[in-house]
Amino acid sequence: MKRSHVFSLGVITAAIVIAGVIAYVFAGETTRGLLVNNGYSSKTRNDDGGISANQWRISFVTLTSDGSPVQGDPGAPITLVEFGDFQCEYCARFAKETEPQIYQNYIQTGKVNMVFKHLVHYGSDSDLAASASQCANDQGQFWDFYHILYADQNSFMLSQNTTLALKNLAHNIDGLNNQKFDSCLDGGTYKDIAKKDTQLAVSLGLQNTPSFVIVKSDGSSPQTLVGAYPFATFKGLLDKEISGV
Amino acid sequence: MIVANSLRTSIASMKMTTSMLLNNRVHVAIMVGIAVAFWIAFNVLDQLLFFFPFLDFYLPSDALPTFVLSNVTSVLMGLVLSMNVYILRNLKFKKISASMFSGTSLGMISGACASCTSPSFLLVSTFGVAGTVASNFLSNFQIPLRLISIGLLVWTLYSSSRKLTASCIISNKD
Repeated sequence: MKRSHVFSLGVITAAIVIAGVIAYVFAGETTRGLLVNNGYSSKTRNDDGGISANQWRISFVTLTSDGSPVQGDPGAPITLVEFGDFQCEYCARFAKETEPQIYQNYIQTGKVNMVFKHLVHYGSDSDLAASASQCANDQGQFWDFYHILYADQNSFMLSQNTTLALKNLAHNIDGLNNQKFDSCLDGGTYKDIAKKDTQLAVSLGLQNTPSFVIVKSDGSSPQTLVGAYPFATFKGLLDKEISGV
Repeated sequence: MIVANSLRTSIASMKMTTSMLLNNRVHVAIMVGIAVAFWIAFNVLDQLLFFFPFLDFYLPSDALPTFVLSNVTSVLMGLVLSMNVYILRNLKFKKISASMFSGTSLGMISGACASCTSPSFLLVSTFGVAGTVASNFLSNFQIPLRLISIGLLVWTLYSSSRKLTASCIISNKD
C-alpha cells in the first residue's frame, strides 16, 4: 500500500474513532440504555440489543400508588413508563411525534397502559412544571396538560414568571377548574413529587430524558429504552412483549 | 465595490482549492470518511439515528433545522479537515488554523450538550444553579451555536484556501 494511502486511511480512522468516542460519551446512554447494578437490577443485553433488568419488579400498582398519572386500561398486560422533564426538548418530540401513535395503536386498544414519572434535569422550573402537571392530574387532566405544555414548551421556559405561564397554559384545558388548579400550584401540594420520582429514576440507573421502562403488569421482565425513539422502535418492542404475554 | 471584488476573489479561491481536492481521490476519501463519521455522530447526538435495539432513522419536523445545519457542518468538517491534511502533507508552513479546532469543537458541543443527556444532568448535579444556567444556555442557543460553528468552519476554509493559493505566488526571496 502506498504511504499516502496509509496516511489517508489513518486520518479517516482517527476521525471515525474521535466521532464515535464523542457520540458514545455524550449520547451513549441515549441509545444503549444504562442500568446500574444497585440491588434493584442486573444488567443483561437482550438478543435484540435492548436492555433488560431481570431482577426488577416494578408492578403497575407500585408505579401508580403515589398518584402518578396513568392513561389506558389499568388491567392492560403491558405498562409503558415514561420518565420525562417538561423542559426537555426530546421529551417534547416524543410527546408530539410518538406518544399519539402509541396511544392510538396500543393504549386505546387496551394492549398497553402508560404511566408518567418525573425525571427533572433543569432545576426549579422543571420542579414547578412537575407540580403543575400533578395538580392537573388531580382533576384527571394530566395528559391534556402534558400535550399542551410540550406543544408550547417555550412559552413557559422563556417566561419571566414561570408560575403564571404554567397557569395560563393550564387554563386552556377544557373542563379544568382553574381556581382549584391555581390553589394547588400556589399551595405547593406536589412540590416534592419531582424529587421523589427523580430519586426512583436514578435508583434505577436512569439519568437521561426521556427514558422508558416497558414492563409486564406483574412487574416482570422490564426493559429500558433511553431516548426519543421513533414509533417503529416502540412498536417492535411492544409487539414482542405483547406476543410473549 | 472593493468588498464585492474581495468576496469574488475569496469565493474563486475556495472554489479552486475545493476542486483541486475533489480531483484527488485520496482527499475525496478523507473528506467523505470524515463527513460520514461526523454525520453519524451528530445524528446520534440529535436522537435521530439509533443503532439499538433496532437500526432506525427518523426526521421529525422539529428536528429539521438542526438536521440541515448538522449536514452542512459535517460536509464542511470533511472539507476543512481534508484541506488541512493536504496542507500538512504538501506545504512548507505546516500550521493548522485554530479556528478549525474551535469550529469543530463548537459544532460538537452545541449538538451534544443541548440535549437531555447525561452531560446536562452532570452539569446540573455538579454545578447546581450555574450548571442549570449553562445547560439551559446550550439548549436554548443550539441553533445559533451551530451557525457560529458553521461560520468558523467557513472562515477556516477560506484561510486554508488562501494558504494554498498563496503558495502559488513566487516569492522574490526564493
